[in-house]
Amino acid sequence: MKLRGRSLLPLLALLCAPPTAAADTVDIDAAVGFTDTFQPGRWTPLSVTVTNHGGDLSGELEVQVTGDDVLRGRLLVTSHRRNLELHRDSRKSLQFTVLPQGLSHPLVIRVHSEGRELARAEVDLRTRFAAERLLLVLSRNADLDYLNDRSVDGLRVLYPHPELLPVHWRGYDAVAAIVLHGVSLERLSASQFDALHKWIAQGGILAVSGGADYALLRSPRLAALLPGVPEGMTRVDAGALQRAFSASLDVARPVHVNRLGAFRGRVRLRAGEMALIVERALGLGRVLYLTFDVAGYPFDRWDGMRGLWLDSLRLPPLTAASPSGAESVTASPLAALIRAEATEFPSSVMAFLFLALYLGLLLAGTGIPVRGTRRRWLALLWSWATPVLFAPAAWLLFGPAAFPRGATAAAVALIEPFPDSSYARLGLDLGVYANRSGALRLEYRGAEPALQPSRQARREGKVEDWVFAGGSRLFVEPLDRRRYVLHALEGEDVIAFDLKASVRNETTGPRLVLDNASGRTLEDLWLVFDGYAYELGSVAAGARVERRLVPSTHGIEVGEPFWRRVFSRSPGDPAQVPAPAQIVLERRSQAMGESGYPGPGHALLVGYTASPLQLAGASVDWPRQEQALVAFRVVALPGDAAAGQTGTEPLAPGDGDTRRPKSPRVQGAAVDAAAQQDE
Amino acid sequence: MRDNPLVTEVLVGLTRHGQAQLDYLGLLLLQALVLFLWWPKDGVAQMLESQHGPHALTAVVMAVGVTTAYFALRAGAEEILLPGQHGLRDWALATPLGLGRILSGYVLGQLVHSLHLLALSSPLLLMAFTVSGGEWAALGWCMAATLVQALFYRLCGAITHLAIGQHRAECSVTVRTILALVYVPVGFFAPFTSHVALTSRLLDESVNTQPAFAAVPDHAAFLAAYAGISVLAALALNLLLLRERRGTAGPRDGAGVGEAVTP
Repeated sequence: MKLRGRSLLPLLALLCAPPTAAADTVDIDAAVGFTDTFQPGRWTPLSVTVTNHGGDLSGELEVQVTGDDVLRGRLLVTSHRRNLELHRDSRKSLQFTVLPQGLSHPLVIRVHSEGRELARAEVDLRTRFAAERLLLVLSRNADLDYLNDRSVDGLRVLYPHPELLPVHWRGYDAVAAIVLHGVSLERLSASQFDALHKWIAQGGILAVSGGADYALLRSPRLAALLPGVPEGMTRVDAGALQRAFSASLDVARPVHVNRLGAFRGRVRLRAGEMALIVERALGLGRVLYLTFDVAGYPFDRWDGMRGLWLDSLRLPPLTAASPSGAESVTASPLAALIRAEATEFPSSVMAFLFLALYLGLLLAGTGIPVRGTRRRWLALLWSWATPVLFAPAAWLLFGPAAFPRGATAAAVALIEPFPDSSYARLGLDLGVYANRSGALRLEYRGAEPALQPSRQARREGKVEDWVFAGGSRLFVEPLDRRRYVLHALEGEDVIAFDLKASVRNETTGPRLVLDNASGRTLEDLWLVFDGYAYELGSVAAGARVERRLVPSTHGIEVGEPFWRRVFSRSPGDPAQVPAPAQIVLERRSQAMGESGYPGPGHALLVGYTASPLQLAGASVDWPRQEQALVAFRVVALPGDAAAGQTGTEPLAPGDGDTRRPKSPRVQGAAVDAAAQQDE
Repeated sequence: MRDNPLVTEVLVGLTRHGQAQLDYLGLLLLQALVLFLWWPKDGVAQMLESQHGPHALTAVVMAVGVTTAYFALRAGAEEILLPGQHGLRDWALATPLGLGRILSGYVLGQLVHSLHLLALSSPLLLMAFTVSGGEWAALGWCMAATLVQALFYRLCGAITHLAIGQHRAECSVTVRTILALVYVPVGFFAPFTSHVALTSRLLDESVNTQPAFAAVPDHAAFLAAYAGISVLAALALNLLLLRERRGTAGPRDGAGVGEAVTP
């Protein structure tokens, strides 16, 4: 019996052991950037794989990005968090999009549960960076190493696995272009393809190589992006190729290239009737289709391939690693918004009257004769009841009624629809503040901007540590819990916003055609064109508007620098205080530089709409101050242009357009339908 | 608590009107003036730009602290007595009550009186609290500190009165000197004893990144220090009363007691 009891003890101890995984049973593996290479100062993907060798694990995965606050001589830590649920002996990969500020501090990755750190890993950034822009080649066998260039404006060619591509478009921040060769985009997850599509729409360059396996290029996702789909293969003789490319092309026999049917865009290179390189604009980006196999005969041995690639890609000049265009010198739109909309303190007059009433009543109470009278109870009441009644009255009157305690969210959004695209750039200034101390966790939905502390806060040394949570539950949380501190972030996103407009400059004035398929009502819409501003009023979601505008009848004559003021001020605002909209427009104007805003030959549609960022979860009841501005810069077409033509930024006059440009209007699940429609 | 005649005397005195109420009303006016002066004149946007919230609560709590301390000192020195209230020497010499009971009644009476003063100040405190955005816990600690500090000053005033009460002018100067000394030089060189410093640390978060009351344990040190000093002061007061009682000859006729305990 005793022996049996002893044998049960270890079993009992085992059963009573805590179910959480022990620290040494969790492994972390991480890869930063593309093939473990990233560019400092640019957003980059970080793939983290957590392996659990122990029991079921419920915790959090955290990535800490450390930077230096030079002004205050301290470290700044930005934490990216995700919930982590791992069963026994399982593995999970999560992807983050992080912004490494420098190389001196490693990325710290932690798994913790119930306040206990279960695993920790550090990623040394000093051995993984590239100073050059990145060219991603998605291919099984293509070798484009000849494009490597270690100069300042150079390129680093990387060959990432397609399944490790970013899930957020911001992850491509350091990428100059992507070359696709013999790889299907159907292998990407929905979020990966969405990220790729958005990246192209906001200015990315995708080059797709043709080849014998052209069925890949007819798959729905690629077909939606490409200028056209291949219909078969055709032979191009050597002479034609040499005439098209160069006499230096060492080709002795005919080469098979993909044969295109109808396509959108323009031919950049052709051999006789055969298109060799076709290009289309997709938003602000471009998609190139090289109908030949760039890694096959005779291009795999041609010295001119490097020049051909660079000519075709036309990579834009290297810009500073500033996420939101030019450095702004204007005031913060958040401050202007808060100034305009914040609940103000109860007035001094109100406080004075309350105090006067209270002290007056107390003074009056001292005059009540009490000794030897029946009204002694009144004195007792007066001495205690007056303060007891006035205390909650003060709390209610100056608190919940006039100045509620709690947190407030402020957001100024600028939505700039891309031409010929169902996407728009969202520039966001987001702020949270509270009039009481404590945690400020802002949960939101509707957009997934890559956020970072605002430049103004960084310039003024007012940046604190932040927590950003991704995944299914998005939130941001400053770790500075002080009251009356504006925690400001700025960020960018690409959102679905389908707005089509064309402006034709007719002899009587501009003619506007506007198709609002954005799903949002546009309010207080103005058209700014050729020195005049035209008020258009509201345009409901789904509405199509066609207006002929006459400057002398409908327009207000405004100069280039002054129209923004006409638009942005609300009645009653002091003249010297700029409104948030005006600040946002001034910023864009500065970013446009000397070309002006909207600039010669362009019109600008400006109006308000609902903010794409919405509060969620526990923050849904927060007071909010928000303003969302739509600014659509449209090319003004000549008056005799074909009706219905959209006002996109055209490429140089094309010579290969075989059908009218058509809006891609593809997004998410609509990609497939659009591709079928195109075919 | 109401069995103690000294406490009863305070409770009854609070319902009557006299110079003490007018004196405190004057101090309340001063607190109101402080509140009005520190009431935020700028908007929320300006506060956010400067990263400093309104200092109204800090200012009012400091004002409440110094005014209750001043009032307690004067009450201890018997410059201020509630209507119908008798002095400590009267209780010790003219009644057969034990010194322990007298002292406990005295301390309890002082706490009741201070609570009443805080109740009178509470509308002002809450007005300031709503705009300044402090935390309830921090405000509670500040009020507890005010109470303990007032008790200390009350006992100091009583000791001064027993020691040199016969010289009214010197006594008056001494109690004010005590207030000035403890508030200014002692508070400067030993900040943990300063109600001003404590209030500033608890309510003003402009420097600390964490809520002040959570990061700084000074409030406990303050309370412990003043409680400890108050115990010592109470012991000294007990000795002084004992000396007075032993040095007094003649029968104990209990004169004045009836008046003291009869409302």
